[in-house]
This record gives sequence, structure tokens and C-alpha cells, in this order.
Amino acid sequence: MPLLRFLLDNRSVSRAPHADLPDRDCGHARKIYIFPIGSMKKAHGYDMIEFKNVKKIYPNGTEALNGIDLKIEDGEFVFIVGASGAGKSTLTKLLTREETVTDGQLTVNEFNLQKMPGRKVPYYRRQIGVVFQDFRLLHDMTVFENVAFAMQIVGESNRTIKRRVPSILSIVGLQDKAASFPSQLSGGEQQRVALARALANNPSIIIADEPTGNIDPKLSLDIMNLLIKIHRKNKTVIVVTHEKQLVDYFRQRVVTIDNGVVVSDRVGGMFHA
Amino acid sequence: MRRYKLSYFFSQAFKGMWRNGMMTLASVTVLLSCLIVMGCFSMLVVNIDHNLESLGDLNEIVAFADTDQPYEEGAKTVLAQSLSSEGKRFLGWSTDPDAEKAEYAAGASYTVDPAHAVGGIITMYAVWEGGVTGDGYRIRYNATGLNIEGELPEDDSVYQEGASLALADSLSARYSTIEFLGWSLSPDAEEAEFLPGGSYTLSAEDARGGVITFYAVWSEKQTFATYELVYDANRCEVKELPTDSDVRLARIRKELESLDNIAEDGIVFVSKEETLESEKEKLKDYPSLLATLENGENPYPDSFQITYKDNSLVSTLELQLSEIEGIYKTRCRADIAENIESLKSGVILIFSWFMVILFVVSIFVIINTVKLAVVGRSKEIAIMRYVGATKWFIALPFELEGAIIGLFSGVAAFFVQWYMYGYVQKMIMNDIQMISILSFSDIRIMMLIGCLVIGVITGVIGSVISIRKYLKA
Repeated sequence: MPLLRFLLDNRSVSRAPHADLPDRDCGHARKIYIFPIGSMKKAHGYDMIEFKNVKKIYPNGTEALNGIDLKIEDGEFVFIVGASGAGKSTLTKLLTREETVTDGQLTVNEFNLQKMPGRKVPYYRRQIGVVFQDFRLLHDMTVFENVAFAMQIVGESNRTIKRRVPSILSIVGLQDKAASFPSQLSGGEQQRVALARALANNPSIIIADEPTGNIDPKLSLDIMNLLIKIHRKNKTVIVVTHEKQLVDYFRQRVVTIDNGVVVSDRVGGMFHA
Repeated sequence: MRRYKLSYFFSQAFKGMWRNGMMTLASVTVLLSCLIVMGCFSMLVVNIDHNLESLGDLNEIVAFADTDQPYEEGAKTVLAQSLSSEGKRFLGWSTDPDAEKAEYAAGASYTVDPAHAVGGIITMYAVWEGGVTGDGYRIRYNATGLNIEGELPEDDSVYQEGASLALADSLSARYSTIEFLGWSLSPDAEEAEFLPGGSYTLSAEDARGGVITFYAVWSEKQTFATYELVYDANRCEVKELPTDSDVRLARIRKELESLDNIAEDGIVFVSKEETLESEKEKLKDYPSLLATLENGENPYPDSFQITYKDNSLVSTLELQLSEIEGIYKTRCRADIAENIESLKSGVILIFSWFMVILFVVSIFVIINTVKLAVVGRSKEIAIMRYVGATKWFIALPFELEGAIIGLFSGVAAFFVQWYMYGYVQKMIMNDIQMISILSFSDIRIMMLIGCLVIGVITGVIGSVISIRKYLKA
């Protein structure tokens, strides 16, 4: 199967010391440098996301998830689809540790999300990059600053920031818009800034929550292509969406959720809600 | 190595303050007034303490002696020590100037006997070995216990036996209408033997101790309930003739020295003259009061300033002092100190409540100010949290904001207090000289550090409470 081969390829690449070199063809980096591999935390060879009978009941009694069993291997590209209220966004919130698991077990890389103390949450979040439907950019900061902000927060030095932000912007194709403000950009471009920000701290997992929801359909494809491109850089990419056309177009693994349980999980599958 | 830049946090903090300027101003004002109240209070306490110190050594008790008071009948006292005169040996004291043997030894105790008194005065004559022989006779006049207008007549001449002389003229009583009848050789006479200005032929039989005393005879006989004791060297040259008051003070001093709980060199005698002088010094700005002191009799008693060792045994000491004959009153500085201490604790109590309320208010205002800043940046904070900012990274700018508000308030409070203190000090210095006020330079450093530390702590507490509430949600 091509996908399996893909995965195996990626895995072997991930063990190589130069795994995270930016792509030559799209990178305009003046220097070649190595991303800090330490932040990947590849302690067990490869990581995964594992849901074991995960349940989530909100304090008001709403049962959002009724026992999700799901395994996402390192370097996979997964669409999570489902109707509104199926439990997609709850699943995302559990992954970003906005909400905690009520019952069951959720492990991401080496982090056990239900047992994780609050002080470790920031360090966990540095390993996942999140992209939202509404971009969530700071409008009084330029594109460059928005990306740099994420690095500032984890205490990167100014030198590293100056060196890395342009290379990340070039990955998303915004190297020329570094000095622009978000309000001067189109929706697609804003989402790319958000993606660049998600990539800033070199996370191993990218979670995109309805990334194309607020974007012109013509540009949605660009964003999806960009996510595929990031996936090829050996990142696990989880895209939560309900856009049938896109899912069908890319023929990746599709996990369908309905009423808080996984109803189908097919590699190279189609959207069927 | 990852480094967080302090400038980032400060710029964020200042931005936050700038964004909600009015609220920042309000919290600075509230905290400022809180600090000013606190400052006034601590300055008051410090000055009370200072005045306590300036009261002098608190381990001091003052015992007032009434040694110039006359004796009552039957009172017990001690006689003076030996006199010394060239070529003569002192035997003791006697009430009879012609006695050859001493009735009382030097320093012996003596019970006041009205029979020894003449006109309310008991005279103790020194008894010398071999007796005293005079070169003639002297004449003395005695008012027989009545205050008279003018001086008693004096006669310095030495007369031989058989001499004829004229007696002094009549006396007139000072405060009463008692009439002068004449002179008599006996103090108990009810009728005058000699008329004023009458003549007298000297007879050795009339003399006692070489002195012939003429007693004034008054139309009304004087009676005495109290008696004074005086010493007479009995026609001998002595260096210093003791007074009864000195003798009694010496006795009190001796008794004081025998007490426990008295510090070394802890007994200082302050004579009534010294007290008068020091009181005059204190009253020099009040001429009318001073005039009464200068013209009248000295109203102050002799006193002993006693420094004691153990503060807890003061009451025992006071009791012991009160039992000493001749001490009629004690004044303990501890009482004054206690009063001031209780004033101080009252001040502390009242202001503590004030401060608690003001601090709660200022913390609430700061909570709200910081909350405004937090809400204003909530979007940014949400993004920070998604990207993996640690809590302290998010909270630090807000805590800094609180700290800066506190710092501003502290500095402002310091300068306001400086100005206020100078003003109040000038006012008090001019009007009430009894209170001494510390100069601001003495408490400057304490005030500055206190204002800054309390201001900053309050600011930080307020912002921590505010941001904690927000970060939890």
C-alpha cells in the first residue's frame, strides 16, 4: 500500500539526524540548520496518539464521547469527520488538553493526558501545533511578530527567532508578507500565518480544527495542500473537518465519529457521515 | 539556552497600565491614601516611642522626703553624729547647755519630748569634755514661738556679771493681734518680768550655757503641737553645725542604701533648691508662674532619685520606700511610661483596623485594575496558552503591573508624608514644647522602605489574586 510505504519511509527518515531540514524547493533559508531534535521527544522510536475507551461527560451531563478507541501512528495524516455535535470538537479539546478525559485513557507521545499535572500542560502544548477555524491571530502584530510571539513565549533567543521565522514563513509561502498585519491579508493567508505559528516551535503533531471553515473554497485546497506538505515533513497531522469534497479529494485515512463513537476508520477512505 | 527578556514583561506591564489609565490612577490613589494613613500611624508610634525614651531612664523612682517638717510629740528620730572641735573631745548631746555628762550619745535615737522644748524648739547642746567656760555672758531674745514683724533684736556684746543693761523694745506679732506684754527669763511665764526697754542687772544664775535668754511674753500663750530640733555647738568653734534636716536625710539615705534592688550609685539626692532651680529653668518662658516661685517660699521637697535594678519588683520597692520614716511620697516613672504605653497600644489598635480596611479596599481596587488588563488581553492570553506559554510567563506582566502601581504609590506616599511631616512638626514644635518630635531625616529610610515594600506587596497580592482567578478558568 502506498500509504504504508509512505509511513515507513517517514519513520526511517525521522530517525535520521537531518530529519527536519526544510524542503530545498520551497525553502529560501539562507542557512541550513538543524531543528532541535530534542523537542520531538522520540523516546520510544516512534510516537502515537492513542485513545482507549475515552469518555467525556461534561459537568452539565452532556455525554460528548462514549468510548472512543483510536490509534494514530507517528507521521500519519488523519481526517476526523462527522456531523455537528458528533463529538469532533470535544475530541480536539481533549487533544489540546482544554478538557480532561472523564474515563478511559488518552496518551499522546509520552504524555498521559488524564494524569498530567497542570504545570506540565504548557510543555505538552509546545509539542502540538493547533490551527483554528477563526485563525486567532493578534491584529496589532505583524505576520512576523505573530509567529515570533509563539517562540518568544517558550523563551527562544532573539537570534533564533530572527533566523527561524523567515524559514517557517517560506514553508507556508508568506516570506514576502512578513511585515504585513493580519488585517491586510486574505483569509487563506491569515490561516497560513496561523499554520506558521503552529509550526513555530517545531511540534510533532499538528491539529487543524476546521482549518478551511472560514476560507474561500478555492483557497481551501491551498491550505490542505500545505497541510499535506507539512505532513511530508514527518509531522502527524490531524484535520477535523466536515468538508466532504476535500476529504474525498485527498484520499487519506478518514475517521468518522458519530454520537461520540468511531463509526468508521478507513485508510484512503471517503467521507460518509 | 532559552532566555526570557525582562524588557518584554515590563513593556507588557506598562502597556497594560497605559490601556486602562483611569483605573490605574484610581488604584494608585487608593493605595497611596492607604500608605499615607499607615505612614501617619507609624510616625505617631515612632514618636511616642521617642518620647518614652526621652522621659529618661524608666528604672527610676523618686522618693520625696519631708525632713523639714517638725516633729510631733513622741516622734522618734536620730540625733546628729559627733562634732569635732580643736582641742576638745565631744561627749554627746544634751538638752541642758550646762550638763557635764551627755544625755544622748552621738547618733543615738531620740524621742521627742515636749518638756525639752522651748517655744516649740528643742535645742540639743553639744557636751564637751571638761565642760565649757565662757569669757562672759551673752544676751539672746526669743519670740517664744510666734512669728514677728521684722527681725528679732540682737545683742552681740559680751557682758560680765553685775552689768546693767537695757532690754530690747516691744515686738509685734506678724499674723495676729496678740499683744506683746514684755520679757521674761522663763518661756512659760504668763506675766512679763521686764517691760520692753526696761533695765536688767546681769545675774549668773539666769544664764544657761553662758547665755541669758529673754522670752517674749504674749497676751495669749502659745501652745505647740509640733517641735523643731536644732543643734547648738555650745560656745565652741565647730566646722559645721548639723541641721536636723541634714541628719534626717542622712538617716534616710542610709536606710535606702540597705535596700535590695537598687542599682550601683543608684541613689541621687536632689535638694529642694536644686529642684527649684530646675523648675525655674523649665518655666522661664512663663514669667507669671516664675514670679510666684521666686517670691514665695520654696514649695518643693527634697527628694531622692533612685535607680533600681529589677523592674518586676517595683511595687515591693515602693512599699519599702513608703515605710521609711521621712519619705512621704514616691513617684515612679514606670507609671508615666505605662500610661504612654497604653496610649500607644490604643493607637496601634485603632489604626490596625483602619489599615486592614484600607488594605482590603486597595487590594480590591488593584484586583479590578489588573482584571481589566487581563480581560483586555484575554485573546492574547488564550493564544499564549495554546502555544504553550507557562502560567508564570502569562502572569508575570500583570504581577509587574501590580508591583509598579504599588511602587508608584509608595514613592508618592513617601513624598506626601515628607511634606506633611515637616508641616505637622513645625506646628507642634511651635505650640507644644513638651513633646519632642523626631526629625524626618531620622525616620526617612524606614518610611521609604516601608512605603515601597508595603506598596509593592499589596500590588502584587492584588494582581496575583486577579490573575490566578483568570488563569484557573
